[in-house]
Amino acid sequence: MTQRLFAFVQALRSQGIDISPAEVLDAFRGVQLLGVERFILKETLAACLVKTTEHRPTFEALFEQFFPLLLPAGRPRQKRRRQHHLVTTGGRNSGRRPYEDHSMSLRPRPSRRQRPVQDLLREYDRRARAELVVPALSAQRSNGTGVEEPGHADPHKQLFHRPWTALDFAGPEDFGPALRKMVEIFRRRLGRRRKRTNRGTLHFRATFRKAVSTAGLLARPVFHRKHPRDLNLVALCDMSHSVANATKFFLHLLAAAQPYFRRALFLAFVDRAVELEVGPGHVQPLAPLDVYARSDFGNVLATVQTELLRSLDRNTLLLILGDGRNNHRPPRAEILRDLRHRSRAVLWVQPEDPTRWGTGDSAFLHYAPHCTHVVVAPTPQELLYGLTHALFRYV
Amino acid sequence: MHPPYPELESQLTRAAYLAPPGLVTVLRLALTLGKPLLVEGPAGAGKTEIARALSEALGRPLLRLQCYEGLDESKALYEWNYHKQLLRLQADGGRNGSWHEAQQEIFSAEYLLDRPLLKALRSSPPAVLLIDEIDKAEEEFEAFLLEFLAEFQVSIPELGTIRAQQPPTVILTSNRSRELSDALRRRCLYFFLDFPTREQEEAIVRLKVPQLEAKLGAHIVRFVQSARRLPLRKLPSVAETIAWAEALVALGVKELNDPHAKASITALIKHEEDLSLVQQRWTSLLNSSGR
Repeated sequence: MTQRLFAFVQALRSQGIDISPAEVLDAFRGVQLLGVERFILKETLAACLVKTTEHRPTFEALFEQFFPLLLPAGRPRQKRRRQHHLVTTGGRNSGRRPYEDHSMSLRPRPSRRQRPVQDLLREYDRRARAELVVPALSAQRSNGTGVEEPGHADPHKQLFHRPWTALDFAGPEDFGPALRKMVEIFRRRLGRRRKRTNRGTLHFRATFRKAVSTAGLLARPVFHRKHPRDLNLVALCDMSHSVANATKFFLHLLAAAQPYFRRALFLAFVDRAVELEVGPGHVQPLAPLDVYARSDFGNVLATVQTELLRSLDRNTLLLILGDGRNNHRPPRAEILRDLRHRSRAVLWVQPEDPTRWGTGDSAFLHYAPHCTHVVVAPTPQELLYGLTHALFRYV
Repeated sequence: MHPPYPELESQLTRAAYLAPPGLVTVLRLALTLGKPLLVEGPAGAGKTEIARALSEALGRPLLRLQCYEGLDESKALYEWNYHKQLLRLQADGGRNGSWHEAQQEIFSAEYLLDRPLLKALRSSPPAVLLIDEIDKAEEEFEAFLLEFLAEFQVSIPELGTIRAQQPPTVILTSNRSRELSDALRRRCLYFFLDFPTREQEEAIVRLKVPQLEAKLGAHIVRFVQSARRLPLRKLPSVAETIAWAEALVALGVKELNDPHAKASITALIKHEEDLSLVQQRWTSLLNSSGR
C-alpha cells in the first residue's frame, strides 16, 4: 500500500500537481488514522494532496487507476491477471510498475500519457462543443519526435515542422526567410479563397456578351459578384515567454490577413492587455507590457469584456492565441462564453500539444468548450494550415 | 482500530447540519491531524455553517474572524489597551517606582486586548476558529497567518511567543474572489463545497423548516435547482432556499402556482436582472418543479 501511495503521488506530480513532502506525510498519517475504505481513502487523499478544484478531475482519473474497485468475486483468476497485464505493461513488456500489487485487479484503463494523441483529440471532441481544426496531424506528430520530416530539402520548410520549443532551444534562429515564405503562402491561399467566395451565380447575359468575342463559344463564363461580407477582427495574443515564437509567427500571418477584415484590432497580453500596432514586417505595443509577468487570462478576458463590449457584435471575429496557462488564477471562462455569444465566432489558436492541455496550471479545458474552433498548432506548419483552414470560413 | 470521532456525522446532524459526502471524513482528518481546513465553494453553499455546526457538535466555543480589505494584526490578533495604560500612568503620577517598572507593568497581559486569533490560542477547551472569507483579506494578512496556522503560535514582542496548549480547530472559507497563495493551501486540508444535490437540499429544507409540507418542499427545491441552471448574476444559495421556504410557510402558501409564491420570490432572487429573467421563465420553472 505504501508503494502504491508513493506511486500515486508521483503520478499526480507528473501531471503538474505540486505536492510538498509535508502534504505527503499528512496523507500517510490520514490514511493510517482513517483507514483504507475506498471512499474515505479517496476523500483523505484529496483533502491532503489536491488543493484546488482544477486539479480534482486529474486526481479522480488517477485514483480510479491506482485504487480501482475490486472486481466481483468469483471471476476467473486467469482473466483478472490478463487484465492486469494489459494495464501495467501496455502489452509490450512484462516489467512491473512500482505500484503493482497482485492482491488487487486493475481495470484496463491506460493512463492519459499512454493514450495516443488521436484518442485524446477524439475524447476532447466528444466533450467540447468547439470544432477542432487539426489539419496537419502528420506522421511526424504520431512518432512523437516533432522534428523535421526527411525529404524536405528546403531548410525553411524544415523549420516549419519543428515544434515551438525546439525553435526556442535551437538558439538565435533567424526566422526571417521562413516567416516571409510562410506569410506568402498564407496570403496566396487567402487570396484564392476570397476569389472563390466572391464568385456568385452565373451571369448569363455577361457570359453571352463575352462569347461574341470568341465567335459564340462560351469559353469564359462570367459570374455575379457577391456583396462583400467583411468582418471585424479582434485578435488577442499571449506575449508570455512560453509561446513567444508562436505569437511572432501568428502576428505576422495576421498582418497579412488584415486586408480581408473591415477593421482589425490587435491586443497583446500577459497579465493585462495592451493595444498593438501591427503592420507588414513590424509589431509595436502602444503601451508598456511586462512580458515576465504571470499570465492571467481571466483578467485579460474581463478587460476585453468591459472595454470592448460595444465593439463586439455578430460581425466581429475574436481570435485568441495562447496556451491557457493561467498560473492557477481564476480562469473566468464564463466571460469567454459571453464573448462568444456576442461575437460571430471565437477561434483559439493553441500552440501546445493536446497531451498537455489541462495539466499543471493549464486552464485551457475550461476555455475550450466556449470556443467555436480550436486550432491545434504545435508547429509553424500546423499554425499555417490550421489558421488558413479556420479563416476560410470567415474571409 | 476505530476511526476517530465515530459519532461526528450524527453529532453534526443533531446540530442541524447535513454534511455532504466526504466532508465528515475531512473534518475527522482536520480534528485528528490538527490541521486547518480550507473550504472553498460558491457563496451560500454552507461553508460558514460548517464551523458553527462543528462547534455545536463538539461543544466547543466558536470564535469568528471576519476578513475584509484592510484587516491587520491589531484587529485579528491583539491590541494594547491604550486607555487603560494611560489611566495607569496618570494614576501613578510618576510618584512610585521607575519608568522601567511602569513600562513592565503596562505591557503585561493585564493590558492586552485579545482578538479572535489570540483568544483561540488561549481558549480552553480548544475553540473552533472560523476565519471567514479569507479571500477578502490582503495577501500580507495571508502571509501573517502562515506562522499561526503552521505552529499555532504567535510572537508578541513585549511578551514573547504564545503557543496554544490545546490547538484550536481552524476552518478557513473562501469564495475564490482572489486566488489564495500556494503556501497557505499547503498548510491546510482542502474541501470544495458545492451546492447540494436535489436530495440533499430537500433533506436540508426538511430539517430547517419542519413546518413545510414535504411535497411543497420538494417543489421548492426542484424550482431552485432549475433556477440555478439559468444564467443568473447570483445563483440562489441554500440559505435563500430556506428563506423562501420560510416565507411561503409564513404566507400560508400551499402550492407554487399561488400568486403569493411569485410575489415572495425576492427572498430567493436578489438582483433586478435575475428577477426579471426568473419571472420570464416562471412557467417553465414551475413545470420543472412539478408544482
